Amino acid sequence: MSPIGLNHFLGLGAVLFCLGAYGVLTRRNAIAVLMSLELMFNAVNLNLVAFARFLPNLDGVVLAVFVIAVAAAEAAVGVALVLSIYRNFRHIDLDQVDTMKG
Amino acid sequence: MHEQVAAAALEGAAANVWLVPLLPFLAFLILSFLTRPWGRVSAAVSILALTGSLVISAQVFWQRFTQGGPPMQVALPWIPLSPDHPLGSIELGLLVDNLSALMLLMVCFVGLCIQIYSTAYIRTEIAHFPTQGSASMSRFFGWISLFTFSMLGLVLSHNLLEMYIFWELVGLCSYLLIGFWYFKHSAAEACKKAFVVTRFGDLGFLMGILMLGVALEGFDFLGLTAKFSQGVPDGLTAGFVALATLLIFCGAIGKSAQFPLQIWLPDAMEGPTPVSALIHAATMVAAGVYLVARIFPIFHPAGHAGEAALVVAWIGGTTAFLAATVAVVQNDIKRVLAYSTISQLGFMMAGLGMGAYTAGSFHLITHAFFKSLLFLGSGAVIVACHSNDLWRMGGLRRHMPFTWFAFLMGCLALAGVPPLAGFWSKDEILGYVHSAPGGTALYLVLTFSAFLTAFYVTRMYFLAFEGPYRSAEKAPADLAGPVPPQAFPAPFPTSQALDVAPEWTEEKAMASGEDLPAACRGAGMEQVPHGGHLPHEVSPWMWAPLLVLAFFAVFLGFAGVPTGLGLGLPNYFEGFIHLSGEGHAHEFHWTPMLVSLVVALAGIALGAWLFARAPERGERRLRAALGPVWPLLAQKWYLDHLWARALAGSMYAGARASAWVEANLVDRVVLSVAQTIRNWGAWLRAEHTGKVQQYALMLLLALVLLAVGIGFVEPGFFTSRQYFLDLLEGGR
Amino acid sequence: MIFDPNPVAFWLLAAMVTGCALAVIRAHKLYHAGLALVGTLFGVAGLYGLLQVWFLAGVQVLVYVGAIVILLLFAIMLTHHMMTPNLKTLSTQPWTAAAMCLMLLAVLLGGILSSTWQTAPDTTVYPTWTSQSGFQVAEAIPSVKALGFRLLDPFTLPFEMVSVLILVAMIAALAVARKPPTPEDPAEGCEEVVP
Repeated sequence: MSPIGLNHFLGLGAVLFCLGAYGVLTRRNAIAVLMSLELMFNAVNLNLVAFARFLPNLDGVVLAVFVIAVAAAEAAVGVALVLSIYRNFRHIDLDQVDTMKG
Repeated sequence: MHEQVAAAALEGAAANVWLVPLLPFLAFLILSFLTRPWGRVSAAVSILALTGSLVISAQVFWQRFTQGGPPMQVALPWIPLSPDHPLGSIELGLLVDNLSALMLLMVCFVGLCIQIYSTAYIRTEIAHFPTQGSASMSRFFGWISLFTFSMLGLVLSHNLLEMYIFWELVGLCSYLLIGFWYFKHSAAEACKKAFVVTRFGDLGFLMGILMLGVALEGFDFLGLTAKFSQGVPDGLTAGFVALATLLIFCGAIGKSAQFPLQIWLPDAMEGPTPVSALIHAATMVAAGVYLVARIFPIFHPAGHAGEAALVVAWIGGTTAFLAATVAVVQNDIKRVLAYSTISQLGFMMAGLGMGAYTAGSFHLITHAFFKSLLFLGSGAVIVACHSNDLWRMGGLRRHMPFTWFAFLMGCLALAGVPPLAGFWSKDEILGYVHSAPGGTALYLVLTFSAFLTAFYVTRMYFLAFEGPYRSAEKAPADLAGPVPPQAFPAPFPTSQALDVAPEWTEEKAMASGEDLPAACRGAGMEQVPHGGHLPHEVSPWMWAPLLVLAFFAVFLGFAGVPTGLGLGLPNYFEGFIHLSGEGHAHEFHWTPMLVSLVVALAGIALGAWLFARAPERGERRLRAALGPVWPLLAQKWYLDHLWARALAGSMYAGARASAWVEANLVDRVVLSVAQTIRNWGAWLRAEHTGKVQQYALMLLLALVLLAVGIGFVEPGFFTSRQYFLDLLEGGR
Repeated sequence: MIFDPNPVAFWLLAAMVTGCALAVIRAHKLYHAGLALVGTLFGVAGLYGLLQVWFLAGVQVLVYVGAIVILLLFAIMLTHHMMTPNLKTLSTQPWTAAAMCLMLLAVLLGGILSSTWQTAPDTTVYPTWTSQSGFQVAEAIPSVKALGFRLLDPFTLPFEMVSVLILVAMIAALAVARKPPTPEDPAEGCEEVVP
């Protein structure tokens, strides 16, 4: 098996990011969208850590820590929004939440 | 770049010259913000500041007079332009030479006399208006101080642009002070008229400044004039220079009330009389003459009159003649003086245009003294008689001896009786024009104007000061009062656009008893009846400055007595103010001097014959003799009507053209743009489904497209670390 | 000595991550999606471990699996959709989105493959792993201690700001999630508005 280099990790990150993006774009359920968002966060973190490891530069790890912290904050607010949507619409299907329609 | 001009730095007393304008400005600030409720304190502050200015300017003058030397100037960069711009930078500076030192002294001195006079005078005017009080006095002195600052700054200006700034400032002060009783409809109209009319000229002034300054790469007076010392500079045609100088002269036409923009000055008499004396007789209206004197070498490159100079001379001559004729038929004492001022300014312009630099400047100075004296005297008369109308005066010689004496001196000086100041200066202009090549026709015009001057001065004097006191009741009804305009309709219809009756006047409002702001309630109460008692002498605060000015009106002329006369007096003035290139001391001729003496005496004699005994009969005779000309004169040669018609016509034409452009070009473009955007909007609106995920999809699409685009155009953006390093250094 | 992660471990973890991620985005039951997310997060934590950033692997498990996923599961339970199979899982634009994501993937992979990364074969700073010599700890292990110093020396301000951010997010979550009070019954809150 060929040795594993930086590109492998970056490629995996890219795949994960695109999967997450697909989920964000297509899932109807708002909570599933939030989950997909977490996937994208993880893809980014994977990249950062891989860079930090291979370049090498410790700052990537520091950034990853920050990203995790921001992701936690995002998840809290996101869940609160989902609850609010649920209270107002009685469902959390994003394709039916279209009150922003122009 | 700038030519090196022989100029020294400010030294000696002149090093303090910046204080001269600054002190009145400080006074203005103090009056506006600190002492506003206390009118007398304001007056004291203002007078104190101006006294300081006077002391400094006297020192400066004395330094110039005794030491001479090259002009002194200091300049600071104000607007730095790019380093390779030929203008370098636009500067603000002070220029002290003999002319500006003399003007400084004159402005400060006359201004001080007028301010002292005003302390008593303005209270009498304020007393007419029950709603006006002490704050109005502060307002008056504040604006006068602001004006003094502006005028002194104008005099000290180092370049044309700086002069333009102060030029507009004095215009603003003139506007404020003409409309000092802003609630009077006539005053509001007059100040608007003055501002707008002078603006016509100022537009030309600015264009001329820019033409000349850009072509010659500099605005400063010394540099500009030095370039013309050897004739028109290389690279410029005489036609270009003539056009530029004429445009600059437009400013002087407006400010100095020359034909055809003279129409604003008579109306400016709506302002309080000291304002008329200071601004519209002594200083501001002389700014045009001062401007022409400042750039005199440009009008006369290498000492030869250019085409522009000839225009200046003839405009001056025309103005002198027209204004003198109109002054003959005026009944309002201030209007007589106003037309007289226009006429005398015309004399100065004619002199400067023909090349009489010294004579023109001399007349400027002497005229400032005796004309401000006359205005202040008329103010005293108005206070005593409660009327501007000459036919409601009479016999004031016995009632107001001090005023009478001072006023008589002013009249004699204006009429040109030797050895008073006006004689010497006016005679010098006439003599110069007489001997100048091609000046015969102009000489005849000016001489006739001088005759008219003597005549109308005599008429004014006899109507006001001799005979019995007529008062309002005994005034001859057919002669007194302003000439009713309906009696002399214009021979052509003026447009209704400018003749409509005003929507609001204080009279209308008083009649209907509504819509009258409290501050305006005094407007209709100005014409309080006199109460039948005889006029009496005014307070010493008013006649003392008159006597001081009268002293100068009598004796100032001896500073400029021609050396050829043989009186043994040196011609101080010519020694002090002359151009290096000017033909020094033009040849003295007895003929023009004797002619002007005879003309002056003839005018006085004619006036005395008509008006000394029975002025009413004399006036009727005068009108009969003038015949069909009289309505022409009474209607000011219909120039106001012509202006109104020209303005209305051009305004209508412009409005019609604008309406067409508006409807056919602007609207069409705007509407089609709006329709296009509306279509786009309708199309884009469909995209606003309100579904967040579709938005996110669009976002992603844009991102991908952007990335692909960048990848095609700049592949290094994704692959090269060096790309970003270069980007950081700004090298890409 | 080039840093060389174990290929077998990598491919296993990659398969786990990708597979679980697919489940997250495709699962009909939300509960299954949540479980798949846990799997993905564990896989990523494993990758961190493979990279020998053990501290971050721990944080990943603690924060993500321990907190965020629990939060999401709470949300699932609160909205009654925990076990309900949602037949129409995907929205109306699956094919467009798929094309778009594939394009994005192509761009990303193209960028990754065409780039030249300046990797440094520095084996003295970090602990290293090679297939020949096994796990080796370098002399100067930065790991948690170095990370701590790093956080407190140049990144002090962002560090503190992140704490403020979390505080603000907490308050905001409270503000958004609580029922709006009504004038009639401010204590109880109003009936939910159903459009």
